[in-house]
Amino acid sequence: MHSPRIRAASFGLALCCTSAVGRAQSFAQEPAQAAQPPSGPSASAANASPGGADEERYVAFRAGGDVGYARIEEQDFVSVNAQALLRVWNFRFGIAGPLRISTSRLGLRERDWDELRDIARIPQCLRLDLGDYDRPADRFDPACQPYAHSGRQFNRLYFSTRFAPVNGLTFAEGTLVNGFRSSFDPDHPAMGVASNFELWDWFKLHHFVDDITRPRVTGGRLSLWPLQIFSGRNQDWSWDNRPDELELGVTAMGDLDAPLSVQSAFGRPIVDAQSNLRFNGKPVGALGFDLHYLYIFGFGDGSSPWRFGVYGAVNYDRFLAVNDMDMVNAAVRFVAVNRQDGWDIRVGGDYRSVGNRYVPGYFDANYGTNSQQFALTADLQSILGNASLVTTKLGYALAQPEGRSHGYRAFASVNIPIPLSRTQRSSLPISLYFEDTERRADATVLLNVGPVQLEQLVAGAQLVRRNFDGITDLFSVDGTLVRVFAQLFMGPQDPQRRRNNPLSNIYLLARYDRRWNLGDDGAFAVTNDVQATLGYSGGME
Amino acid sequence: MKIAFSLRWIALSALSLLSACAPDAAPVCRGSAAATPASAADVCANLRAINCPVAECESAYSEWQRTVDSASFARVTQCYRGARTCGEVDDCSRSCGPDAGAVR
Repeated sequence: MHSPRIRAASFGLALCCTSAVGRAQSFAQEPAQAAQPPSGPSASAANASPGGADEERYVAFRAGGDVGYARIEEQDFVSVNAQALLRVWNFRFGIAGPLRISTSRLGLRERDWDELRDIARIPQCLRLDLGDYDRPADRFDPACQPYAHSGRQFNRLYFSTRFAPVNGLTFAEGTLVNGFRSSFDPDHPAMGVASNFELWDWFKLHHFVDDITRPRVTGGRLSLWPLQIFSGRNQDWSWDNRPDELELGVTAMGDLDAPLSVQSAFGRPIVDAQSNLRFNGKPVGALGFDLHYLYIFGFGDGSSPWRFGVYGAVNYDRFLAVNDMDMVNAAVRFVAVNRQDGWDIRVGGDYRSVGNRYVPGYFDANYGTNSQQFALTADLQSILGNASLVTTKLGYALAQPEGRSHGYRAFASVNIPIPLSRTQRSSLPISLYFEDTERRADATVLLNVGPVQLEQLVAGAQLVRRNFDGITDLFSVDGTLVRVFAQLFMGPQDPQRRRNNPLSNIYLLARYDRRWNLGDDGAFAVTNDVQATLGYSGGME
Repeated sequence: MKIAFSLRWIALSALSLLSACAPDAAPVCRGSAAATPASAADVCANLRAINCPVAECESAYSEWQRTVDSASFARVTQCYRGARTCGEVDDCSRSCGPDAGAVR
């Protein structure tokens, strides 16, 4: 039997849903997930309709679209997006037909449909889910993440495979894979595949390929709960949902054609007719090992709903066949959780010993860009000088001298509960960290706000700034990636109340992306993309 | 089907990662015997023809002509003119400089 203290430890992470840094994962959720019922311990129980429920239709269909304004790469467009969803049993097919019509010359945006891989814009989420999960509403779901389960983890058997853009992927503490996204570039959509398998509270397996039309980055993580494997499943824990007190993880990542150097002529990058930077590639592989433990004090003390604890994690990441392209990271966080209303507060720090050739969070949200041209900030550009345009992330890393340096990360996160009704609750997760090493241009700041899912609104924001010099240079937008999105439904999304309310099918969608775009001169430059549309969808569900 | 797909990718991944251990062959300058540079028009036309365009090619040519030593410039432009792929163009940039090194 497990001790009460270990029970309490699990309770803390049950509220948190992911490891603290792993909250970045939730950023994969996109506006259309607003159609999903709000999550949370109470909400999931209230709305759960597990696969196989009596009222579930065998086939569901929905179609619709949205129209509005888009500004992409400093040009204005009318955005028209048709969508359709078909579910047959446990297969779901979501497709879209995004068209952007130039306001200046009344034609389709050329870069949207100028190469074969552009057909990847059409399938949005093709998926098969088997086993135990909460069946979501049959609405468009571009996030295409594994489904949640409001039942007990010890009893869950789940398999999911999804063809969709890989989005906001974080493994463990985010030291190797941190918010990875297969493509931020609307000119080059990427259709990846991701699979998950969960066997009770014994292990989880996650595997992905970034782009099935041009596979480059692939990897996966196996996480184990050895206490459950060797001492039995947690079926005696009536309130427990996750077996998190001790977790071991192994991550394997590979970039089969990692840009090593940019191809050039006359010292300038070569850009092909489809606006791809040409580069010389080299396969790289990396392994990561991680261990996590959360200990909560005072389980059984009924005088207060608050519990306090300590979370610790140790991980080691290493690229294969390269000296000093590795990192050891040790994290300690102080944890306060409120079992009654769902507050979860974590504050702490990491110490790390970083090989000179290791870039923390190597596979990050902007990997599609910075793997090709690493010097996206003024600090890095001043270091690289004339070579800025032709230096890749891997090329930069391999050019560093052997040796190690010290590094740290300061971390804070809070999960703010938001009551929706007497039985439903949502939450607003906010996380912030700052990390740096002794090396130049190696600081990172990351802020995630949300996504928050309310009855009629889902919204979130993310800010990531990498490769700048120290905390004194913190408040600058140079090299900052920003994403903001929101979707507002005009009527309730509760499955019962939305049936007879036509406004429930009407929604406003807005997003803003500050990202990089490859110019004809072979240099990535910042672009501010905006989209605001009004949409309607209806169907049979 | 799914299993076959996965196995294929595992095999490809392993092969690719193993090949990372093999040393890369040094690029060869194919214009090493040239004494005079190829013209900007010829070079830029070839770069466009093989889908390896460089922004403002003619001005990039002139700029390099001023900054690169004349022997290297002659070799690299001849090499660019004969290249058939972007990889070969890049090999020219990396091998037509002094001592068969990069042109800078």
